[in-house]
This record gives sequence, C-alpha cells and structure tokens, in this order.
Amino acid sequence: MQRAAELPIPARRLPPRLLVGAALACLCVLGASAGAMAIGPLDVVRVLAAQLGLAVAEPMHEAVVLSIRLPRVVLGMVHGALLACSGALLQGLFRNPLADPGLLGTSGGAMVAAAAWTVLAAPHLPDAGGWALAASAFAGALGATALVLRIGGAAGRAEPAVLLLAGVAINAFAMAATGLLLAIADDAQIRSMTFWSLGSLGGSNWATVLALAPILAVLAVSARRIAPGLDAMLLGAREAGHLGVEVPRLQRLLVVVTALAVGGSVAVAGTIGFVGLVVPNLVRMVVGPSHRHLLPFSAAFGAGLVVASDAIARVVAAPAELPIGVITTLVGVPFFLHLLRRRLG
Amino acid sequence: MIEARDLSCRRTGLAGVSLRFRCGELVAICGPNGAGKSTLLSLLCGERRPDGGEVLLDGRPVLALPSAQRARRIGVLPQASSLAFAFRVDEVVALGRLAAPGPDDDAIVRRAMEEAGVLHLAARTYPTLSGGEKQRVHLARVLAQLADADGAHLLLDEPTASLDPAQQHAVLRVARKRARAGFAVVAVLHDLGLAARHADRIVLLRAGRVLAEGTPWEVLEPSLLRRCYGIETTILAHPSDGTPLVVAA
Repeated sequence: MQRAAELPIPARRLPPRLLVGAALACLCVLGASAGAMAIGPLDVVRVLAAQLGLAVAEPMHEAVVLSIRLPRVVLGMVHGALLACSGALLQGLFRNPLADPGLLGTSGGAMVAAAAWTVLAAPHLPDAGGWALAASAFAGALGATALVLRIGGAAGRAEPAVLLLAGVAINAFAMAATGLLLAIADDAQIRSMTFWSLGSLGGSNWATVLALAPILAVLAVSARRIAPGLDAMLLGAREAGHLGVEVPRLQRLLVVVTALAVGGSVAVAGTIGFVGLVVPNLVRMVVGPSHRHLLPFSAAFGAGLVVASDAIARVVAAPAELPIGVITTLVGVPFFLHLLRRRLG
Repeated sequence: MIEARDLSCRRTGLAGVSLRFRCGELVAICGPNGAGKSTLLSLLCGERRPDGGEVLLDGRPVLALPSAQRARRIGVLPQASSLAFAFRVDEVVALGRLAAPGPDDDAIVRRAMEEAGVLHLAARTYPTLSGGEKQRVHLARVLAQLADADGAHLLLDEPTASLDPAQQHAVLRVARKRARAGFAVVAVLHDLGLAARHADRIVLLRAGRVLAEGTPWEVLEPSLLRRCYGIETTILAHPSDGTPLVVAA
C-alpha cells in the first residue's frame, strides 16, 4: 500500500494534534445540535458555557443537551475510538491491513455471547445487570480472537488467507448461533438483539459512558507501551523476537486489550460495522504505519466518524432513526472493496 | 563469542553439533538442503530451544538472557522479510533501535544506512524497493540494532538467496567489514563461491552433523564436497586473490 506522499525526513509533518482535537470538538457540538428538537450549534455552546457559569442557557435546551444528546455524543466518541483502535491493533497483530473486529469474528464472538446471556441466562438472573452482559461480550470477543490467532496467525508465518478464512468461519458460526438463539427468544429479546447486530447509540446515558470510558483509558495507557513492539511485529513475529520483543506476551496483551475494547463497545452499543477496518487504513495513508501516530489518530478519527454517522442517522430519516451501523457500513464496504482491488492489482 | 555445545534438535535431525564463533571472524555455514543450517542459526540466536546441549553467549546460556538484552548482542538478518505496510526506509532501520532506544538513535540509524549503502533511499517507502534494496535495508536495520554493543554477533540466514551477484557481494562485503571491526559473523550460505571469497572459516554440515570445519582451502576439497553434496568438483585458485574456486567437474 502506498502513502499519499513521500515526505523528506526532516520536514515530516503530521497533521497537528491540536487541529484534530479542535475538529473533534466542532463535530461534538454539531452532533449535539442534531436531532428532533431544534437546538442550534450556538445554543449547544451556550449550554456548555452555562455549566462553567459563563452564560445563561434555556432550561429546556440545557435538559436535552446535558441528559440526552451529550451522553450520546460522548458515548459515540468513546465507542468509535475503541473500535478504530481495536482495528488498528488487530491489523498489527495479524500483520494484515484487512483485519477488522467484524471480519475476524471478534465482534461476532462478543455478539453471540451477549445474545446467549440475554436469552439463556438473564431471565433466570434478573439482578445481574448490565455488567454481566458486558462481561459475557468480553468473554466472547476474547475467545473468538484467541481462536483465530491460534489457528491463523500464532506462528507469524501463516498465510493471511488462512487467517481471514478462520475469521470468516468463526464469524459465520457466531451468526448461526445467534440465529439459533433468535429462534428461541421472546419479542423483547429479539428487539435488543437486532439492536446489537446493527448498532445503535440509542441506549446511551452517562452510566454507559462511565462504563466504557475506563476501557479507553486502559487502551490509551497501554498504547504507548504496545506501539514500538507492534511496529516490529509488522516485520514478522520471528523478526520482532530478534529485535527483542517478547512476542507471546505482546500477542496475549493485544488479544486481551482488543477483546476488552470490542466486548465493551458491543455490550453498550452493538456492532458498528467497518469503523475498525476503514479508519486505521485511511489514517495510515496520511501519517504512515507507525503505531505511535496510528493509534491516537485512529482513535480521534474513529470518534469523529461515529459521531458524524450517528448525527446523520438521526437526521436523515427524522423522526425515525436509522441504525448507525447502516451508515458506517454503507460508507465502509465500497472503501473495503477499493482496498481489496488495489491490493490485488 | 557464541559457543554451541553438543546441540541437538530432534525435529530437524541436528545432532551433536559443537562449534565456536569468535569475534573478528566471518564463518560460513554450508551444506545441502535439510542439513540443519537454518536450525543451527535459530538455536544460536535463542529463537529456538535445543532438545539437547546449549548455546553460550560469552560463557552464559543464551536462553537465560532477557530478550531485550539478547537483541543488543545478537542480530539476525533473515532470508527475506515481508512487510506489506508503507514504512519509510529510515523508519524500518530505526526499528533496530527498539531494544535499546537512546538519544543518539538518529545518528546511529544514519550511519547504519550509510554503511549498508541505502542512505539515498532513506525517504522512500519500503514496498517500492527492489528485492536487493529491501535486503540491504534490513542489513542496515540489524547494524543499527548492534550499534552500541562491543563484540556483537551478526547472524545471516541465506542473506543473498534472492539477490543478483553484485548485491550478493555487496551484502557480504559489509558483513566482512563488520567482522574485521570485531563482530562475530555467522552466515548460512548456499553459494560455495561466495563462502570461499568472503569467509575466514567454513563449516560443512551434512544430515545434522558437522562434516568438516576449517579455512576455505581446508574445507573446499573434492573428496569432502563429494561426501557432502554428492557432486564431483575441481578446485582452482582465484586468479586475483588466491581464494579457492569451486568448479563442477
């Protein structure tokens, strides 16, 4: 794959992080102003300023923005950042730019485990709450990724095709198992399962934000330590070992971190398709494949993409609401095909 | 110094291999396919655990060293590395500094690129390079990795397998210079001509055992080569530098 431009060494310019942060903040404001009730971007800013005692906002606006829209926007950002980062991490782990939590069965594993919990266990354990659901999604994601790594990529020498086939097989299995669960589920359970399969930020509130944010914090802290080793892993597992990377330990860490990220995001907002695939590849074309830059910029871009898609999903068919996965997948699939064609030709 | 003591590896048939690789010399390991050359190399660098015997790095078991410390003393240039991601050449070379990052890394990377003859490629992206250029980039990466070690060990696993003759000699000339500067260099070589020209010593492996070991003139000898490869050869002296020249009879 080519980069957009080959920059000379000293004048290597990255898009300044400040600029990306500012763009993200603007998207946030726009995202919070989109919806059934008309609240302009300036009104959103006013509400935010009012929290700091700098302005006075309409109580109605304040209520809608603070308790409905803002948690949704923040959840979308965390969710998008997690998905994009897990995509980048999995692509590094498997040395394959086509790896994605959806394709490799990570999300499938999370989904089927979450569905199994909802249909089989939750009715008998009404007090278990959302944490149990998230834990089972995590376990499912962990199991699926570990299995694919074992079959397709552990030696670092395996064919990428083997890896993707293993992922596709596990994904198909997860889908079939989900279908089986669907057949024995009641109406309410079916509704919540459709929600997972296409993804929605509809269930967001500050509690879900607080549940997901720590995972992003874990990712942010570990990214710095993971990045150099992941760069070396792109040469191959053997070469990384020769360079002094403790490869099995790094692989285990990556599997756990991505499972945590994917499991957590699937539990709170379902699978949002193709963010994990598209975002890291786009970012790589701009900043290069080094994970020190790839991970933070993927997080920022993933966050922006999900917030923007969610705003579109809410506005385009208002008052109805499209599943957000529909938007991201409609954008993602053509991009994915383009990528495939370029790799082949 | 790397020392192999009575190494054996059941899966690949290596048995009772004892060898010493001293700093300052370039040793070529030759032998037919399946003789255990690459296995020996992966045992020497601690990538693989032997079924019997041990590898000592300056007297200490190589497997007892933490992998980062090992990486500062032993560098491995593989036959060919696949890298599908668009790293710039200087970024690939800088990966060599992973085990021991420091403030001088930029200068070290630059020197390594210069030594391997790839400085002019520094800003190119790796996938756009030719096979020979890629291999020299990896050579620079390994040189950068070993830059701050006294008496480092450079292991080359058929480093010239996919290169044209000019590139083959270029890679081995760099390796030989490193040996003169105090490295222990061990190179698995298929081409006896390359081994004869560049190696101080040649180890001839056959079916997992050391068949012969010595200077090129001692080892490249018709009866030994017949036992090793089953071919008939004539040995001539190279007209310019007097190294042995193996000619199929």
